[in-house]
Amino acid sequence: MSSRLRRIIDMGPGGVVSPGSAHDYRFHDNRAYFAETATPWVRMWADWPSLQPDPAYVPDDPDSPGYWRLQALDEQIQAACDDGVKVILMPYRFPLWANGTEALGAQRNTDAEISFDYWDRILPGAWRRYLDNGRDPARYNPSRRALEYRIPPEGVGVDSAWGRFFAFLYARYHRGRSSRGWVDGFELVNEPNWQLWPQRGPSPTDDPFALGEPTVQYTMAQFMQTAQVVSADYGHNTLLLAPSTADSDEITRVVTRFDVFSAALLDALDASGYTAPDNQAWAHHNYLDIEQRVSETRTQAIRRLLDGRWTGYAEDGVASVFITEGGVRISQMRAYYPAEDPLEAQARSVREGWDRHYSDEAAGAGVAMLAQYQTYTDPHFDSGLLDPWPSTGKRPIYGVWASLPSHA
Amino acid sequence: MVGAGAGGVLFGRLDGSSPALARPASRLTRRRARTYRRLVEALHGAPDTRWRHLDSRSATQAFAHWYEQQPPSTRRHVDVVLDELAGTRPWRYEDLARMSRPAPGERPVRRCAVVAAAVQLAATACDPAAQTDEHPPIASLA
Repeated sequence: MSSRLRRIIDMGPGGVVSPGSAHDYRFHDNRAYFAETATPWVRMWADWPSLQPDPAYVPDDPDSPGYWRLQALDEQIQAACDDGVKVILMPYRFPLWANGTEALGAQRNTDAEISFDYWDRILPGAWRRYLDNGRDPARYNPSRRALEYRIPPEGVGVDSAWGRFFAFLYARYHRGRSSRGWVDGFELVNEPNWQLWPQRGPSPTDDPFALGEPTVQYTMAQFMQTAQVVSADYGHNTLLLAPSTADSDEITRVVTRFDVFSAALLDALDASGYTAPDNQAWAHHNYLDIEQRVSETRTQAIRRLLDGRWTGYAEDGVASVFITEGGVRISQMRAYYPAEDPLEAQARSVREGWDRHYSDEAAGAGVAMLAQYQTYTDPHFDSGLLDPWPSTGKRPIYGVWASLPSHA
Repeated sequence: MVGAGAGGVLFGRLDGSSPALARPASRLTRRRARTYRRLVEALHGAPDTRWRHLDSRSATQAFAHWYEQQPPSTRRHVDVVLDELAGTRPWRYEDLARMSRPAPGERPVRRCAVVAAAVQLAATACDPAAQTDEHPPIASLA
């Protein structure tokens, strides 16, 4: 029930990609910010390319070049446990050795890399502009999906490299552990309807950007099936969260709208015979609902899709949706509310968003968690509680976030 | 708990008393532009080709343009990171990679944060622009 609405701060990938950086839970007063704002949950990212850069070594081999980052993750999880903060851990990205793009990785920002499967990575306008600039990335480097988001050709089944990595994480951090820190939840993937590619089958026309049939939902279903098998080995003792959809309204070859994706995923799960265990919760991201200050939320649109079809984690008989990533971006405040001070508009959006969701009805029905993206803000994705590190300037949103109820 | 106000010998104090934190410039100063350019040149030594497609002069010009469009809090961040980075020697990719790896004690952690932030700033000009709703590409050192 949403009168027990939980709060989580998402620290982003920096704590593992660059240990010691501003978003490392251990340092830069981040632990103090969690305590001061009484935030009971933290989301950490287990960046797979960072943790296992060389397939010749398992992640916990002391000779692995990623071992020092695994130690940093261990310590951050342990620190959170010591602080009484519950952890959601999310395996993130694919190493290039695991998804068949290793050769391209040695050619980043060359035409060979940019042009690879461009129809599944680049929007048509950006591709045309790239062509107009002579396919010269020094003149125009088109926005595109990174190589690390390519779905591995072997899939993500139990016997795949991803399956082994997830099993490693589960064994190391599951809730039944009594030492070295544990997590209360594993989130399986980040925004599969936005980041992963390909999203769809081949174009049915001569236009390479024409929409084919969505296919990414089958990969998502396989993530969930694999996680269920791994989780069963430990008595399903740790919460699983998925599919963690981006809340985009777009439909292109590189983005599948959240509701189209969710409906297709439910169909794929049904077709595979999957039945969600009690510890498998539905997760979604909701920047737009909070930024746009709407009452008719995309989250509730998802709940309507789940009604009668989803048998996973529920509270008081109501299927729960966990918002594991969200926040309010300053850039959007300038666009939506030009008459308001952007920082005050951010704080107001969060305050009002919380009020709408802290209810068992309407926008709050079945919502189990709301999220805030980062403590120190990222200048390139500006939604934080504080100004960019090393400033310790607290924004108006900081006081709002600290004032909200704290439910574990 | 490690605080944010502990500077070191190599990296100067980075708390609220820093001149850069107090007074952000409206334009990228010549000294900071030079530091940025040296940073990009150092990153050209990365094992992959990620940083090599733009020459350091063009990248610095693009970054200076981006800088002028940022709010004061972001410009302060840039100023401090580049000022701190300017004190490091020498300037090869391997040095940056080594500095990005923390060791016990506060000063190295401070250094890691500066280098990590600097690499993200380099990505501002060298990586493809992110879409409006997209997280920036992840830039890290090997």
